[in-house]
Amino acid sequence: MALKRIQKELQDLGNDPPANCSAGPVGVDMFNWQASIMGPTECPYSGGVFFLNIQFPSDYPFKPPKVNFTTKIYHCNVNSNGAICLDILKDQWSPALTISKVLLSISSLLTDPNPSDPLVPEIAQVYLKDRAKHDATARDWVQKYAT
Amino acid sequence: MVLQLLQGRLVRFFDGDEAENADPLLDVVHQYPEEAAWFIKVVMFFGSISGLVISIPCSIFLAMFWTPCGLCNRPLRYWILVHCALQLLQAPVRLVFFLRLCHVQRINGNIQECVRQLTHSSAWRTSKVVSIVTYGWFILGVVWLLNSTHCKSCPGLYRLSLAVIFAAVARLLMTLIVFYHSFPPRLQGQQPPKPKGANQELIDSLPLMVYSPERSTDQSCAVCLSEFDKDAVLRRLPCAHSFHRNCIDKWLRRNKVCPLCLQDIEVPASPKGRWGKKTI
Repeated sequence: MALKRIQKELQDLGNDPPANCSAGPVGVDMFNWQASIMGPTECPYSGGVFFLNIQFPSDYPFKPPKVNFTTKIYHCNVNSNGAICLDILKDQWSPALTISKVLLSISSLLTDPNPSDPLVPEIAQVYLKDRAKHDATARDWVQKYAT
Repeated sequence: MVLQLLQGRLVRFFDGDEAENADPLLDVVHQYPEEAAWFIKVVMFFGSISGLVISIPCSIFLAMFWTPCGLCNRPLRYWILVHCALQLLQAPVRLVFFLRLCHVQRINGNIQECVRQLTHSSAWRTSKVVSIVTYGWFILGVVWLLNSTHCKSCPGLYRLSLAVIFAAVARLLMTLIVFYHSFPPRLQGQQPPKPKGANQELIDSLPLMVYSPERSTDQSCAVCLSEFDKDAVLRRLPCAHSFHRNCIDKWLRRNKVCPLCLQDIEVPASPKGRWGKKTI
C-alpha cells in the first residue's frame, strides 16, 4: 500500500507541480526523496533554495514522513540538524496529507515562524525581541548556505 | 497424522478465541502500539532468558546436594525446586510471545491484533495463573528464608535462595525501569488529550456502503488517493466523508478522527454535532 501511494503522489506531483516546490526520489529507493523549497517572497528567506530530505515510513500514509532540512536555515522551528517542529509531521498528521501539502506548510512556516512553539528558543527570543536583527541574520544565512 | 493434530492443538493453545474479555495489556497496546510492543518484547525476552539462566544452576546445585539440604530447618530445597519449575513453565510462553511480536513487526503487521490474539489464548491465561502462583510462592520463600538459620550440612542453600530472590527482585525492578523508559510520562495537562485509536467495535458501528458514482460526493479515497472503482466497499464516517473500508479502518485503529476534517468519529452525543454537516 505504501509504495503504491508514494508512486501515486509522485505521479500527481508531475501532473500538477506545486509552485515554488519540487520533490522526487533520490535514487531507486522510492521511500527516500529529496525536495526543494524556494524561499517565499516578502520574507527573509526569499532568494534562497532549501533542500530537504524525505523518508517515508513503511506504513505510510498511516504514519507521517520524516522531513528534514539539509540546507542550513536560521529559523526558530528548525534546529541545526535540520529537524522541523511542525504539528502535521507529528501528532496532527492525517493520511489525507500529501508531500505536496507538507511542503506547502513548510513554505508557509518560512513566511510565518511559530515562536510560541520553538525548536531553537534562542532564535525565537531574537524573533520576538528584535525582529530586524532576526531578519538580518536569516538573510545572512540564506546568502551563506542557500544560494 | 499425530504430529498434525499436536501442531493444531499447539497453534490453538497460542491463538485463542474471540469472545473473551480483553486483557488490560490491550489498552496499553491500543494507546501506544510501538512503545508497548517494545516493552512487551523486552520483558518477555528477559523473562524467558532469566528463567532459564536461574533454573539451570539451581537444578545442578539441587541435584548435587539434594540429600544434605534436607537436614536444614526450612524446606528451602523444595522452594527452589518449585520456583525453578514455575520459571521454566513460563519460559516457552514468553519466548513464543517474543518471537511472534518480532515477526509481526518484521512483516509490518498489526501489533494490536497480534497482542489481542495472544492475550486471548489459553497459553496466556495459563501463564497468568502460573504468575500468580509464582508470586505466592515467592513470598513464602522470603518468609522461609528470613526464618532459616545457618545450615551446616548444606551451607550453599541459604546463599542460593538469597540469590534467587535477588534475581526475582532485580527482574521486577528492571520491568519497572523499562516500563517508565518505554512510555512517555503524561504531559502535565497542557496539551489536549491526544486522540486515540478506535476499537473494532466502534469502527464496525460505522455504516458501510457500496460506491456508486451517482450517489457519492467523494470520488476518490483520501487515504490511498485512488479513485473509487464501481462497487467498491466504502465506510462512511459521521462527518459524511467516505473512504475505502480497508484504508479507513487501518487509520481509525490508530487515530479515530476523519483524515479530511479531523472530526472525532466518537463525538459527544449531540445530534447536531454528530450528524450535522460541516460546510467548509
